[in-house]
Order: sequence, then structure tokens, then C-alpha cells
Amino acid sequence: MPRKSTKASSLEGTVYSLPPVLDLKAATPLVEKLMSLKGQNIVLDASKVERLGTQCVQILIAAAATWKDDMASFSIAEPSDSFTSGLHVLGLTPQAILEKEVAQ
Amino acid sequence: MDAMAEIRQTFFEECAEQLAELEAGLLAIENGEADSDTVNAVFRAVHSIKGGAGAFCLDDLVHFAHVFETTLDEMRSGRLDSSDHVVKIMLRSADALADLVTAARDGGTADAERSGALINELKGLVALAKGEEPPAPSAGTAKSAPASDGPVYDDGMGDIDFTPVAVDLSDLMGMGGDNRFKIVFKPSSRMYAKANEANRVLRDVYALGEAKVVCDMSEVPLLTAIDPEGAYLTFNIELSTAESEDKVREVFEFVEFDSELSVEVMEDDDDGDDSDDPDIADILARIKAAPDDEGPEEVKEAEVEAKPAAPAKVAEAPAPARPAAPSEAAKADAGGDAKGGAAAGGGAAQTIRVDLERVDRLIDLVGELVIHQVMLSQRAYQAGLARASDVAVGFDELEQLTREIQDSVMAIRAQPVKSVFQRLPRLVREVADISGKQVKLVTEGEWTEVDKTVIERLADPLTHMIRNAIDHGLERPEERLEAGKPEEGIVRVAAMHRSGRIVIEISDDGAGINRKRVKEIAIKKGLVPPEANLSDEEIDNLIFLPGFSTAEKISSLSGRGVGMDVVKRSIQALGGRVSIVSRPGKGSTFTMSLPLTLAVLDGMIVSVGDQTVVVPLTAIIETLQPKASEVKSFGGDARLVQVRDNFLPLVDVARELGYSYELASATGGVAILVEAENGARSALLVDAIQGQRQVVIKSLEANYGRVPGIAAATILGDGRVALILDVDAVVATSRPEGNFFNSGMQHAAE
Repeated sequence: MPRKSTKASSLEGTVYSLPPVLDLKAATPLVEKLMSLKGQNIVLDASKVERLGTQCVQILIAAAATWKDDMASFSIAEPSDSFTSGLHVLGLTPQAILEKEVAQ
Repeated sequence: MDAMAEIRQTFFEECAEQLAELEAGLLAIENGEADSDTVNAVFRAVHSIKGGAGAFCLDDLVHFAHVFETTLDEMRSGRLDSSDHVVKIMLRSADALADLVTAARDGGTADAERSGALINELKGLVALAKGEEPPAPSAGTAKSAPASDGPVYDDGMGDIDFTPVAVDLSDLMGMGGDNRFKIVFKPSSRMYAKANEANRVLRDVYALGEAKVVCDMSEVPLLTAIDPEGAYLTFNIELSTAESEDKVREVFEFVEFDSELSVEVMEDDDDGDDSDDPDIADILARIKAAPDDEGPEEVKEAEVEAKPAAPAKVAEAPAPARPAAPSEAAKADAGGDAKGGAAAGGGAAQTIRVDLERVDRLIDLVGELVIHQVMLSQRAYQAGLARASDVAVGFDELEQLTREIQDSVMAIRAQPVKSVFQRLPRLVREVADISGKQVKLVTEGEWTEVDKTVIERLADPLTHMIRNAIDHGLERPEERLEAGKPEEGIVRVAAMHRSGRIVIEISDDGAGINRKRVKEIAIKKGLVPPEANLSDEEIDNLIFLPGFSTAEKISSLSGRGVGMDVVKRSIQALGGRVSIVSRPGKGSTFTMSLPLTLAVLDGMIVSVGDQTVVVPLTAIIETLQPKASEVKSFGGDARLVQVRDNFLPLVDVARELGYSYELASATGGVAILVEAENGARSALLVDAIQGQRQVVIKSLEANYGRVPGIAAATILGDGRVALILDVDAVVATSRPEGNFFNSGMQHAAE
């Protein structure tokens, strides 16, 4: 199940490096960027993330579900401490994001 | 209770860091260098202090921080402009917050009146941002708080209790967990649009007690259907806290109308024994922290224990450390193992707090190691070890390794001078206020690193010199205007590394030293004879004489008899020097030069008479053997040596140190060219050079007493004590005017 793994080395696909600041202002560009990669196997490099807003988290969840729906691989690689702790505050983990089921 | 005291200490250490961050951020905002990150950092700093203070029941601190934080939140959300006026209030609030922290730590009381006044000012800013009439506490912001006996200030946020803080540590372990709430929090897109963040609200919830947050992602649509600025997440929170329902609801007060919220009291069915407060738990976890290499626990689904800041390195093992139970920490402490701890300092860099004593002990031990390594190799060579042998190569490698260890250990103690510089803006504000002058502080090189002991002992002289610069150096605004200068004076503090030392310059653009008056006062006080013919530099240096003060009246700032002589002495005690350059009408610059470390020194080992002396390598430019034709005598015993195009004074070290009364023959010895702190060059005449090596500095003052011309001592490879030369002092006393100067100082002392 490569899709569920978050290890970059075990995955192939287009690597997209998430910007350091994922706040409200970053939400729309993030959707646009992800939409442009739709259908491809992607690896989101979260190593540079310094700030993670709730709306960008929603978008990542939606993207994970979308990729699942498209049967393409979607993974998050090398999450930074800020990324991981940003998720923890919301009661989430990088793994949990990937496990979002497709909304019916 | 040791564990508690330790946690408390950690809290206050963190407070100090947060306060520094707060001030730095506010200053950046003041200088227009701020971005949204800065405002966030400032907010977080106050918020963290509030959170921790809450855990220790430091009520007045919590209250003040809360109001401050609320105002900062307005700034963060863009409703409150960071105008000069606003930032000035914020800076004063930061000072007041620092005082409250100090009072909480040391058990004193802070100036309640001032905090109260500031609370009202802050509250005014919030009202302004909201477009309300200043003092009206609206329904949205008023909240219930326990009645108090202390003076009550209207902060629009509830009552404030300013009675002195009593911290009952024994109660701390048992706090939290009395009330359990089930909270469902579903933000709407309106909430996000108002720049409120769910994670901020959740952090506040975590601060109340132990919170378990489960994120419901079921409403998140596919990417194709998502509104990037929509709201799809619902947070189901189980909270155990000592706080009341009102307090819990308070957390949501800013988002209440822009979210769906339900807060229900849960039946006390299961044991909930994990109910320690998250802040304590957090600190405890950090005290236990990193070295504990147990495998991360599995976290099922999206359920995370209250540990928002726990860093997890890899996504596939994202389990945050569970907050350590207090008993575990206590156990670790009993094992004597919990002194140092790792702190996840917000950023990516992992830091570890270590008791300074441990580092000092390590440095001492490494110092001994260096001495023994040198002794060992010397003895081996004395016993006939061949230089080319394998053992000799081994000794060389050992020496290199020892040196690397020493460098690394010293690096642990190195700290940027920022920690001292950070205190200066406040000092300048206060001194400027009292003296009625307008002052702008400019700092440079605050990341210059220097040994911690040096930093600690730097604060006092620096404070004094800055006070002096403002009180004596800068003119009053009207005088400045008359002189064609801007009303606002500038005090500049700059730190830099220069030839293996740290140099700190304190300059002002004031009137400069009034030499005529300085000389008059010095003569009046009998510090110099009336007929003395002094150069400008010498007059400037008179202010370092004991008992010298130009202040006509005793102000609360300076003129209390604690003069520049004390500053000079404390800098000298650090192996440093201070000098002054003053230009009439343009201002003065005080330059302090200090060693980077007080522990080791690269030195040239020389023979002087039958003694071995160490000359600090940093002062040495070159060495030469003077020829008879290059040495010129003049005026009695004074001699000059010609070095290429220059004539430099030749200082007979043996004579200066009193090892010999005879003038040594210049041609029989070696001249060491040295540069003094003021840039003046001289040649030190010694008998022979033995070699060059790193020596471990042992304080002479601590073990014996101060010796003129000697900076410290060291132990050589053969076990003998060698003295480390104070180059500047030796050069200064060798000069006729230096001697005169000394006699002046003796007069003063009598």
C-alpha cells in the first residue's frame, strides 16, 4: 500500500515542496497547485512548513481523498516539526490525513 | 517538592526566553521590520507565559497576560494598527509583564498600579480596534471571574485580583481534572475569514487542562469541490480541567458567534487519572524528554493526546510523546537524572537545558586534561622519546583531539550577547523617561558570541555605561536643537569580534566630554595636581578615577558615587579594558574589550629573568631580535627600537615586573611586538621564547590576589605556575605618563 506510506524513499511521483507558510492566504494557491497535479502520483515535501493553518489542512485532507479516488499515490514526506505539531493541535497526524475516506 | 521546584524553574526560564522574544518582536514592529510572523511570535510569547502562569495559579500574571494577549490578537488580526503609540504601550506592557514574572518568581509584588493603568490602556486599544467606546465592557467581552479583595481595574474582561501571589506548590500536582467537559467545536468559514484560527482556539483549550481532540474530517469534500476558505472540520474535545465551565467557554468567546459550539459537563464515570495539567505535563515531558528512547506509541486514527508542541520527526511515526506523569518525573529526579532536559523550542533546532555547573565542571576537567596531556608528552620527550616515533605521532593526535574537545566544550558556553542587549531597550526607555531626553537605541552585532560568564558579568558595566551615555553624554532636546542636531539622541551599542576578543562600543552623539570641567573637577577633588599638563586623552580618562563625578546634583540615574571607576574595575576583573574617545560636540565612544572566554588562552611562553611568563597571543604581532644599531636610548632609561620605518618603545618586562632592577641588554633578548587595545604598538623585551601553546587560565585573584601587570596564571606542562602577562598594563606602567597616572590614582585612593 504505497499510498499510505509517508516515506519519500519508498515512493515515486512528482515531488511538490509545500511552502513554509500555509495560512489562510496560502489556501487558494494551494488548491490551484494541487489541482494542476491532479492525476499524477505526488509526494508532498512538508519539510519546509513552518506554519500550518486549519484551512490548508482541510485542503490536504481533501487532496488525499481526491488522490485516493483517482487511484493515484499521494504521500507526505519529511514533515517538519511545525507541520506535525500543527496537525497535532487539530487532533490529527500526517497518517490520519491520508486515511480520509472519499466523501460520499 | 523537588520535581515541582524544578518544573517551576523551567517555567521561569522559559518565561525569560518568551519575554526576550516578546521584546525583540515588539522592537521589530516598532522599527517597521515586522511581518505577520513577528506579530504571531509576539502573541505566542505572551500566550505561552499566560498558559504556564495559569498552571502555577499566578493569577495576576495570567490576568495581565490575558489582556495583553487580547490586544495583541487585535493587532494580529489587523484590526489594530501597529502605530507608534500602540507599540509604545505594548513595550511598556512587556516591561510590566516582565516585572510580574519577576515578582512571581521571587515572591515579591509587582507595581499593581502600573499594571492596572496599562490594563486600562490595553483595553482602550482593544475597544479602539473594535470601534467601541473605550471603557464599556460589552456583553461579548465581559466574563465572570471570582470576586477579589484586591483593587479592581476595569479591563472589560472581568475582575482582576492584585493581591500578592501565593503559590502553593503542594497543590499543583493535584490540579486539573476535577471537571470534565465534552466540547463540540465546529468553526464556520466566517471565523476563518476574521483571521481567527481553529488551532489557536484549540491551543487555548489545551492550556486549560488535559484535552483529547478528535478531528471529524467527514465533511471535507474532494479537492474539486472544496472552497479553499471554507470550513469543514469539526473538533470533538474531551477536556479535563480544574477550571469552571465559564472559563472553558471564555476560550471560545472570540469565535462563539462564528462557530457552532456546545460545551457539556461530562459525568464523572471513568477514572481520568491522567488529569495533570498540560502545562505541567508539558514541562515534565520536556524535563524527561529526548534521551528517553522508547519507541513512539501508536496513535490510532486522528486521536491525539494533549501535547500540541511535541515534535515528531517522521510522518510514519507521528506519535507525540505522551505527557509524562508527574510520578515518573519524580522518579527520574530521584535517580538524579532529570536535571537537564530537552526543550522543543518552537523552531526546528533542538536545544537542551543543562545546569551551568555541569558545563563548568566539564570545562574544568577538560582544562585538567589539557594540562596533563601537555605534561605527559613533555615527560615522554624528556625521557628520550624520538620525535618521529609512532608514540610521538600519537601524542600529536591526542593534542589535536584534546584541543578539539576543548573548543567544543567552550562552544557550549558561548552565547550571543543578545541576551544582554535585549535588556537595553527597556533600560534606555526608563532612563530616557527619567532624564526627560529622547533617545533612540541602536544595537549592532547582537549575535556576537562570547562565553556565558563574560556575558553575565557584562550586564552591569554595560548598564552603567549606557545610563551614563544618556544622562551625561546626550544633551537635553532643546540643547540639541540649538546645536543643530535632531531632538532625539542616538545611543549605539555594537559588539564585534576583534583579534580574538570581544569588543563592545557604546557611543552617543551627544556633546562629548567637557574636558575643561572634567579637569577642574579632578583638580578640585585632588585627583590630579593643579599644574599637571594633561593631554585630551588623559583628561578623558580622568573620569575613570575613583571618586570622580561631574554630576552637580545627585540624580536617580547617576552621580551616586558609583562611578566609571567601578565600571573600569569590573571590566578589568574580567581581563578586559575600557577606553574612551570623545569629540567635542560630536559625542563619545566607550570601548570595552574583553576576552572571549575566561577559561583558555593561546599564549607565547617566554623566559623573563628566571621566570616563565605567558604573553597572550592575541596581543602579539611579531617577534624579532633587535640589533644594537636598532636600539636608541633617550631620556634616561627609556629606549626605542627601530622596526622598519617605526620607532617603538622598548619595554623591559623583567624590570616592569620587578624581577630585575638592572636594565636588560636589548641585544641579548627577544623583542615581542605587541599592540595595545588602543592600537598603540610597543616592543616587550624578554630573554627568550620557549614556545607557543594553549594554556588553561587560573584566576590569580581567586587564588592569590591581584598583581599589577599580571592578568592571570596558568599551570605549565612541568607542573609549574606561570604568570600570564597583562600586556596593556605592562605597557601603560612603563610609560612616564602611565607612572604619573598611577600616582594620580594613588593620590585619589588616599
